[in-house]
Amino acid sequence: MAAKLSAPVDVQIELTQACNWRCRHCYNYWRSTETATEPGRHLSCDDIFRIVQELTTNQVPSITITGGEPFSRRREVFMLLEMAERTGIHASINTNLSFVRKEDVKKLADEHNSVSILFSLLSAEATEHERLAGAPSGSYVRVIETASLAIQRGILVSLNMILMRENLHAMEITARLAKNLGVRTFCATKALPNTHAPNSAFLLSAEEVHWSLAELMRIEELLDIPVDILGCYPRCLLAGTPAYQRFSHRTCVAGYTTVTIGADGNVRPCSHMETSYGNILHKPLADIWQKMGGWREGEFIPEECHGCPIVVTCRGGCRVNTLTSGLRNMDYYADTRHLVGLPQECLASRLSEEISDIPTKVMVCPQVRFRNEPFGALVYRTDPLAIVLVNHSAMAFLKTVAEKGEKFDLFSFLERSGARTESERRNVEHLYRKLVRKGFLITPANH
Amino acid sequence: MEVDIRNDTVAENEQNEVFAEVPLFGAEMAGSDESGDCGCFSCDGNPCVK
Repeated sequence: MAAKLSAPVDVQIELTQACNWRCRHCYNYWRSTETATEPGRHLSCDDIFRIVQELTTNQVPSITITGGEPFSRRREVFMLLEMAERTGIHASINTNLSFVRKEDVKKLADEHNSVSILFSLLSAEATEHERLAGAPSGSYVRVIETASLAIQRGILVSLNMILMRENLHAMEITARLAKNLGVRTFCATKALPNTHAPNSAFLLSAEEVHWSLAELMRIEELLDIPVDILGCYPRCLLAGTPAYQRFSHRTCVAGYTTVTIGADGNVRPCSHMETSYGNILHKPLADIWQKMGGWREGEFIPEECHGCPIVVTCRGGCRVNTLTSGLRNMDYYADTRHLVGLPQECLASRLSEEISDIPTKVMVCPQVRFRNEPFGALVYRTDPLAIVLVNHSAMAFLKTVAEKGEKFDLFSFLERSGARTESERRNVEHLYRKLVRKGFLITPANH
Repeated sequence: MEVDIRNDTVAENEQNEVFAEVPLFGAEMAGSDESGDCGCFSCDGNPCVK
């Protein structure tokens, strides 16, 4: 059984198409090869109001404000943040930071302290960054100063370094800069093919991807900084190197857990794609989501992947990483030769579930919310953002104890779970531990 | 008065099922932990918050 959600979990909102940089790797489909800054479309205040209404109706827990460069529409950024927060939606911002002013940082820190920022830096070498980003001289210094200020003010900031052949050499020095700044996570994400740069000479080869993942893990140990990737790879690329399985936590989630709303209101399965399934300014999000059902049913998983033993969790890698226009083509990095003869344990991504101290008595955190789903519920909280999907009986139990403020422990959770076999009990205990670790179950104040 | 048997059956099944997490992508191995475990609900979004 796999969850098929009734609405997205995260929605990317492209507030504007305008951007003052011309990044070589930029995936905005409207990007031309020209260097002039066009004003571009943007969402009006009325549009934003309508979008937030739709997101609230569908209980979407999280948004990412992006563009273009969102801070070229400063007023709308703050308006969207305010509306989202008022309705209990978690927000984060993708920005190049170059338009962010000191007073913006102050306002974010003082009035929107749950927001997190992801900014792009293509190298810790200023001239290299500005060249690859098509950014004016002086941009680098401005970005670093703003990032530093935001971190000092307590805003969660992560750095995303888009990896191209030309900047691979700079991974360590850029991570050192990230560490010195105090960013939350250093992300190193491979560039993807895009429409305005048909010459894809900057894209990494499979060997370079392998090198970058090894380098990322070396950096993590050397600098003691959390690392991540923000794209997904087909699992067959990672198979054969057990250490790389940690990077298989990302799968193509286009139209599955996420959609992108463009500056024209069009709703697309993925930020990298131009194809729209409807306009949220004229149609309910629920109807548009229904039209995207094929993305959840595996319609775009490449034909060649269908017989693969791990296709269900892999889902065929990235749909824009085919280097051609065919959505159903194989991911450029897919290499099924790596799967031959591998035991299953080499293919499963695992995150540590152990928590050293399980509280004896717990209660459901008051901030927990439930979104009804055909399979049960999406259980979520938004500060910090955490999500778990449960079946009907677990949902019914959690709702009941939440309403009553009832306290319970692992023993009574197991007893009321209906688990009989050893395997069922193990899975229920696993769920309990996860609910504790993610802050859905908390220790009562007076306990 | 007509009784909605279908709904009763659904309700009964729901009561009888064992508490379980529902995997996002299905068929995960026991102990694997991918179902909505991190913040990775979109590419190009914020990094994983494990």
